[in-house]
Amino acid sequence: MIEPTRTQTNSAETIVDLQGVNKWFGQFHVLRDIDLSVRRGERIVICGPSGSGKSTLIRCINRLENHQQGTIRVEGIELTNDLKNIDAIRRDVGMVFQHFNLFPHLTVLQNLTLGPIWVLKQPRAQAEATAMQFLERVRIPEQANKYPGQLSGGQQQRVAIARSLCMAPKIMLFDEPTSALDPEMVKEVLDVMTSLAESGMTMICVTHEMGFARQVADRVIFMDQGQIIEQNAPEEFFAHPQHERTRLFLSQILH
Amino acid sequence: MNATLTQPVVRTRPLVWMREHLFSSPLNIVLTLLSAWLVLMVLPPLVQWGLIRATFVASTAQECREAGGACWAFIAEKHRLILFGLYPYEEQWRPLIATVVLLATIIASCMSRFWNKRLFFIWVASSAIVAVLMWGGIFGMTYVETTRWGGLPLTLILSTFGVGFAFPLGVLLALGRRSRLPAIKALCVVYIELIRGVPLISLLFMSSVMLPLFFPEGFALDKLLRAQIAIILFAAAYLAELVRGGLQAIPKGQYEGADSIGLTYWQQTRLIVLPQALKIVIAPLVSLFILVFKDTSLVTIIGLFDLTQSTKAALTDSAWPGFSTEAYLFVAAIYFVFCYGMSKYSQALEQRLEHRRD
Repeated sequence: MIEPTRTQTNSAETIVDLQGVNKWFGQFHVLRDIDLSVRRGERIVICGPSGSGKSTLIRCINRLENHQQGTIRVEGIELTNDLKNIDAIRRDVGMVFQHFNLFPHLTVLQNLTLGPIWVLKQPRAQAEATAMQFLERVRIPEQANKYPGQLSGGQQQRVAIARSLCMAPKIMLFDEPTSALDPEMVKEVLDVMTSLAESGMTMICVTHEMGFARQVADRVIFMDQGQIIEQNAPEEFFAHPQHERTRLFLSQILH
Repeated sequence: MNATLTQPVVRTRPLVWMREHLFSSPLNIVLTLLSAWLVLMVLPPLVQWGLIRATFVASTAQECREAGGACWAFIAEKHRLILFGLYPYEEQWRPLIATVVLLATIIASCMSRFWNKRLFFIWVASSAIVAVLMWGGIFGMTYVETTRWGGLPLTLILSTFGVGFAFPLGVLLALGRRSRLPAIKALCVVYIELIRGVPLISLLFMSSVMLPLFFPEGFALDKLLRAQIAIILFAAAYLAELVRGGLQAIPKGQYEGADSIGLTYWQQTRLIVLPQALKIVIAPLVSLFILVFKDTSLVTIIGLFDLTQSTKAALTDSAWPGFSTEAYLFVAAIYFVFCYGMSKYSQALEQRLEHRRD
């Protein structure tokens, strides 16, 4: 297989690089001139009102959505319609969804080993050993042989995180991972995400969990109407929001 | 289960049970009485005819007539013609074994412990055995051409291979109809709509009369094979629409989940989408299989001797005239056993697969 061409970005430490990205859904301009570069090991929280384009933004990073203008580079590989590049990037980028998107007809263990076996071509025994390690890490090894439908929401989301980790991704994208959970299950998922952040994983999280942002994020980004309105270190961001829209948003979600 | 912990078992006496289930409302009372009356009207004469006054052993039709009941002796006399059609009489052990092999393979395929790659080779092997037995021409067996095949083995062969080949074709058509590539999509839509817009009978006619006109000179395709192809093409179009229904029920998140771990389109389809989509459509799929099984009887119109046609042939014997009721009951019973079996199996399969999500 031919390795996709990796062009050197300005900094070797930049792992995700978006420049002048624009996207439309029909007439609706969902992303406007997005510039964003993420360093290796950086933890970013993106927040903003619904419809602000934050989910669409991270879905562009592993090409679940395609952008119409600008460039997106992940690990130096530019995202184009070239399927080979898309496959290469999806191997490097893990994603956790709001609704888990586990495969209901497979056991937890099978959910975890599917990618390693079919995409990374690992032997089954190795894939299963790795999978069990990650299930230990998200603290549900005893659920390995159950089906997703038999688990609670919080457990399912932890399985989903473990499933992504089994692919040994370099970046993890989180798309509102706790929004669909019952309140008492939010903490167990955030705990797993926090420990993942502490291990040095590059993370881009769309979330409204401002406690998590304060504790974990290196940078908080506020989006509205498809634009990045402001971005800052969490202390600054929460203490001194620069823009009126940010202040309004924060006042609405921080009671 | 501990009975003391669950709801105590209430032993209802027959009278109470009857009051609750049969006479609980005026409408129920009327329906109960009506049903009872129907059973009383129909059952005694039926038993009288089918069992008490029936003749099970007789050497002539006259003996049957004198008894006045059903003439099961007719079935005993003609069962080989009905079951095997015009296949040479002294060679009929061959279609018998072929039928047994085919049925055994089908039953094995229904058991989950055979669901692995070996099953494919089992099918190749048993198809080869069936073909060798039916055609002959080697191992000292005389050659029997397909025009002499008939009865149950023919019905089974047409429906088994009809469904067997229609299944992959139908799945591909269903996937193609949802394809993003306009040419593939258009092709599948046209195929499905064309075939569905035409009755099976006319497809069979076309396959037997029209198709040969398009073949180059000297090239002939066996009539049975042409009918088989017509059945496959017909079933595939319907199957495609059923499977498409299942595909549409798969949430978008499943595709995104599969995309996010980097599965290719075919991996996604095989590992994530189809297992879930097919499970949803098990019941209508089995309905379709039952329909195909019964619709194979339409091949009579192009002169093939399936089960119904061989039954008709058995009825033309002037020594045994007028026993069509018995003959058709016999054939109906055969069809019923197969169709009911399929129906029961589909229910068991659905329950088995559903069990996982408790």
